[in-house]
Amino acid sequence: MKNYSISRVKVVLLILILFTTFCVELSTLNMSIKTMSNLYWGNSGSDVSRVQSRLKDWGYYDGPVDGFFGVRTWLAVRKFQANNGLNVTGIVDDQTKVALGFNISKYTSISSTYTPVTSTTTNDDVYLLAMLINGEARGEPFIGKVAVGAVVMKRVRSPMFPHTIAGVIFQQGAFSAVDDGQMWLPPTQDCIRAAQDAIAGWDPTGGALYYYNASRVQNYWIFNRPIITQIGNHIFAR
Amino acid sequence: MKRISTVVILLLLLVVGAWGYNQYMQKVTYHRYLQAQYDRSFYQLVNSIENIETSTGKLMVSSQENTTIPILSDVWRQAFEAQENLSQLPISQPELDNTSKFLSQIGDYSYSLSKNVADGKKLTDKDFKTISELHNYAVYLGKSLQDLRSKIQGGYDLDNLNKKGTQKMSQIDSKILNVNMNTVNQQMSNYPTLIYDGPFSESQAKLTPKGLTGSNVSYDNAVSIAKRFLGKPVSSAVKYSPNNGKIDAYGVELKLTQNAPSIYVNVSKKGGHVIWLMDQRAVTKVNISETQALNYATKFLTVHGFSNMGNTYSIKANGTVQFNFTPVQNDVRIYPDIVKVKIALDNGDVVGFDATSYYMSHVNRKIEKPKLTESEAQSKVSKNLKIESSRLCIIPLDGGKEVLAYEFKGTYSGDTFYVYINAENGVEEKILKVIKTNQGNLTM
Repeated sequence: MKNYSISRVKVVLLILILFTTFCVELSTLNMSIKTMSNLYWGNSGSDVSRVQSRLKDWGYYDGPVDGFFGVRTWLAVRKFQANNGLNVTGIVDDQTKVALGFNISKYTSISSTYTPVTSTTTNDDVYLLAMLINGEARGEPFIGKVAVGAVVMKRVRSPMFPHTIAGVIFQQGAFSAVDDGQMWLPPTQDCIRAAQDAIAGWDPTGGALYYYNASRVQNYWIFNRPIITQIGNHIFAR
Repeated sequence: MKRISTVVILLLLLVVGAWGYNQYMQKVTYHRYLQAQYDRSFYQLVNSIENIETSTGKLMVSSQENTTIPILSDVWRQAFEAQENLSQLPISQPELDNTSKFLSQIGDYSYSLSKNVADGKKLTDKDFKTISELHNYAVYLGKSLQDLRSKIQGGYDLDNLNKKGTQKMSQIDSKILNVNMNTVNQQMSNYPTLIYDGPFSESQAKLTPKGLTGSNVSYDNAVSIAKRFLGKPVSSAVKYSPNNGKIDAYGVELKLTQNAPSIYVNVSKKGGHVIWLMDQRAVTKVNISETQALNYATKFLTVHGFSNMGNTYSIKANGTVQFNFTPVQNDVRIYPDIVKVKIALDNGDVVGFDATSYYMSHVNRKIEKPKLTESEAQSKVSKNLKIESSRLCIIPLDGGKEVLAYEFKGTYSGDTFYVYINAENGVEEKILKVIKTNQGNLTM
């Protein structure tokens, strides 16, 4: 009898576990549909890194612009709120966003006369490129990171590839970091710096369109490409 | 007792089954969704190419510029769209190389033709010959793609498009390789996409370096040239991979101290010129101003034999400032010969140097007297632009040509623009718009 009751408990537990995973699965699916407008501890993504870089520019934040809302970002936000007479919550709410100089309403009225612009697209491009560099060349020296970014920029200018940074990065099978999801890790400060350099036109490769890791190459056609140089573990080719 | 356990196991199976079915349905939905996206790209690709066919056909019979220009613009737009859709397909890049290039070129070609027509030139017989040739390739491409579409469409098997598509596409692509693009290549232009690093920071058409002087140097020689260029005592200087990119060069890796980040220098094989330098050091403090940094950069250039250089543009980021310099000859700025210098704002050291463009295009130029006076040129600029400054410069044009032009910097309602007026004939060659970001000003 004793043995039996234990196994029954086990079975009931198992059912419970299965049910909870099932329910959690469903609820996370529903959760992900909602978009988060306020940023707080634990958030990550390009919005966070924009806040970080703004705070850094204004001297409130001295950590890495890594797109992750951690302790240091939280402290910086609180300090910023205190200095600007806002509620010190550590949450980037609408008021804080306005104080930081971000546009919160997407649908502002459009005036009929010409209005000058400040672009944020370039910042997004830097972050996107930094994510790719992080996924593709995390272990490489700094110059190797710039080189990977330079290949993307060279492709943007080449007639054989799409003409935007996003187009090049998300082209089918172009980068393994996109396929295996490594790209979506928050990029290090070094990668962001490398992305900025690559976008500003620094090219350590002298015009390479392709590169491969000498030890892990899978596409054999790439061997037919004329090699330009080797930087770190990557071989760059035309 | 046994019955209870059977019921429990059945329940369990039911739950697991329901879960599995749910997962399967999700997978099917995602696959269908993805397949639909691919199909859409494919349909739009075929559609654009058919439109190119039609438009190039119409071109053959159009004679007036008011019909020719819209048609040429349409070919340009369709070619661009076709290329975007082509790159969305789950087919690997090597199979698409030539097709993609073909689409770019037909786009560039029609763009430059439409500019010619707008300038009042008629299409020549040679142009028509090229157009008919391009038309035939568009027809071939359209037919092949339609054929491919009928083979791979439908179903939700992703592998279908991936495998068969790749196979077929490489066959189609290899035919495109045979296009005689000589005439088109000459017209090849930089795409009017974003320029991130200042006006005319890169012009691609030049293939052989014009600015390298002197005889070949050895690798050991290159190492000592690199050390001299840095001008500081180094603890180690080693060779690393040579570079046979745009300019054949030796690679040298320098270290100031044992544990310092490496400084990479490329020294050209011909003449032993330093064409590129990058210090990997991250700059964390800001001690000097941008004006001081500019002084350091100018001094650095003078020391290394670049005299009469003028600063045209700067970007500030990560504790460094990057300055673009061009040679100034008889008060004319020579944009093709750009040199970039990057200064660290903590101690004023040079952490980046790039003279690739300079050595690619620098020659002793004879600068002609401008035919137009400055006020004549200014009268060609839009009245909306509030002009702040103007100067003469040489700018690179599509296809590797260079022209003497007046540069007018001005504002319109708070936005800054650069307008370039050809000093020979008054044609408005380029309009660049400055984009403000928190890193610095970018010119588009």
